[in-house]
Amino acid sequence: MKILIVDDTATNRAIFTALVQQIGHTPITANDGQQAVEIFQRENPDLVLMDIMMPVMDGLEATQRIKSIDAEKNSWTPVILVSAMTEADDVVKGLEIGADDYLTKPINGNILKAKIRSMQRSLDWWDQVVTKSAELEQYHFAAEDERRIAAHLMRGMTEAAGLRDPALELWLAPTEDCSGDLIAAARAPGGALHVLLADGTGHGLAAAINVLPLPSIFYAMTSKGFGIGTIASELNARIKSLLPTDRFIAATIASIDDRDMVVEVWSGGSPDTWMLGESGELLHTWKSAHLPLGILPNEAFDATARSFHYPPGAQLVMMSDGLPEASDSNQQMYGAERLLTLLKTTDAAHRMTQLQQDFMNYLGKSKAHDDVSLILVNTSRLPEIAAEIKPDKILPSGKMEGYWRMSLHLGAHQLKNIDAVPFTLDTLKRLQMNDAHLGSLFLIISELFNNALDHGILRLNSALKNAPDGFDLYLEEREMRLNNLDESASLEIDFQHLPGPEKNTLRIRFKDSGDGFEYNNLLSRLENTQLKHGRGLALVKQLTENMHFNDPGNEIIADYLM
Amino acid sequence: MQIITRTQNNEATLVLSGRFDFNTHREFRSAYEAAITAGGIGKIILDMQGVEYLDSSALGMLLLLNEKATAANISILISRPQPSVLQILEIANFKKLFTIS
Repeated sequence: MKILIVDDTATNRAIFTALVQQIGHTPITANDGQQAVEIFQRENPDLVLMDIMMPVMDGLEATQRIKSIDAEKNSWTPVILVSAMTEADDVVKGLEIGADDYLTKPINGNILKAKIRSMQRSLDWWDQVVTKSAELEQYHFAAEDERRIAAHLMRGMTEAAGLRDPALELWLAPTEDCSGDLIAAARAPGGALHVLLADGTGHGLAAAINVLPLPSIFYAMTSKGFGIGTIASELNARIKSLLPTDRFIAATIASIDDRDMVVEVWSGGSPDTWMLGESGELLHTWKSAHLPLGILPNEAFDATARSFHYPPGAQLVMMSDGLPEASDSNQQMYGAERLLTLLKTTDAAHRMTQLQQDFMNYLGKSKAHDDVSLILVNTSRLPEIAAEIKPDKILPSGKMEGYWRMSLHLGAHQLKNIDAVPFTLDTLKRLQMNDAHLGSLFLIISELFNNALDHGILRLNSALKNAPDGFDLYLEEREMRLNNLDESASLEIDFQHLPGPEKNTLRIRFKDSGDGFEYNNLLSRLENTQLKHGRGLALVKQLTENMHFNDPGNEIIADYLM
Repeated sequence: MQIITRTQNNEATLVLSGRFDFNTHREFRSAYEAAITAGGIGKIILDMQGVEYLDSSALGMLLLLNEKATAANISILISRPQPSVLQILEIANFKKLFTIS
């Protein structure tokens, strides 16, 4: 160590110098306080031995200056005051302004050496603390930076045009930069809105990484026309294979189809999902019906979604558990009841803002401990996008050329287990069908498929839907009949591409194993646009040319012009 | 959280109390691992009467226990959860994985 010895008496300086050298340190000397400050700045000593009574500048003032130089540099140089026995008051003053220890004259060599060693130990500690806190600061900065980049990346990967759907109102309030809650939304080819709300275990970066695989699967499958049950099942398989056993994702997936006014919900581990009527009344509640995603192996996974037929003006409410479970300063949870009461008593247009206001007021100064998300789907605004798929719009032809034909025979097992519509749509896409036609073709194929399966094969009567709760009864009956489907049931789907001089034709044929029906009645009724049933076929008729049945009514053929 | 383990016949009962959350990880794991390694056990009973709160990482720990126990042919019973804890188990549909009474 370099030790600065400050004393106006040459003898004292000589004694200190000798002692310091004896224990292997390097002495430098100053004759008064002012000189001490100058040398201190120039030489950066590790320790100072400071006499108090000196001419020009006394030891107390010099100590004060040295301490303020140290403070500026954020360093620490111990100062040991050297005083006569009679200077007790000065010693107290010196310790108060920052001196670290004191010695009394006459100097005892052993005590001086011991004090220097003790100060050296303190200095070593100080060095370690400085190094560690610099490391900590560095680490903190690096972590901050990584979080910022991760949050940026994650926004890029999760933001999608579908989230700006006019029917959606979203609120996502993460507790940290990165959210463990994730919202994804997109329109399916037929215009139905698919919405996903996922909540990964925990919050912050670790939780955000957990949910990151979800959006790409959700968007790809939605655009191909898969139903939400199939999507849930695929998400489960992916999460199960990626995450460790103790990590899972609570999720709600909803499909809102404006044409049939039906909402389907698959919910695993999430709080209640609600359907509210036009004046705020609670029409339907979906309780969490399944385990969260990523727990069950796919063979045990239950993909059953539950439907509800909604009236005009209804609003769907989805949330993550961070919302009802947020606590105020007394550890009282916000709660689903308060939430529902507020939603019920506020008109639909102001529910989101009122709720946010009420939530903030409730929490007061305390902070939500988990990510908070809420989604409102205003069904009355759904047609604003669905309307873009106009039946009579003539779309540009794709790169599809020449004649081809594809036939598909689905047996009972396939009818029960396979999502046939996205399968055929995907095949058409691979045959270079122009993307612009896929929306219309999705509608045509899914209507013809549902018609053939529900009415032709399962012999369900649409009139069932007329009764109160009829829609749910219809769906129950459908599920039951599908489960007990006769082994001989089958459906033939046939596509032919017929090139023409001006337009190309895609001839679509569906033939089911059913007994057929008296179709002339239906065809004449299709002209009536107000009809309750057969709207599906009316739509197909609008989108195609030459739609007709063949006897006994189990075969339908229609031409789609491109 | 405090965990007391009682073993009787071929059943091990882990009596849990307090907050069952992330901070309980090590304690909970060593308690059930000790019970499983001791051997001769066909059933683990998690007595949750004293548990005031349970979070999603506790659900994760239950999944880990379930995995370990299934491999060792041990059944699990979640016993006497308070209403607030039961609600969390129900929302997560853990009734499909565990017997809860």
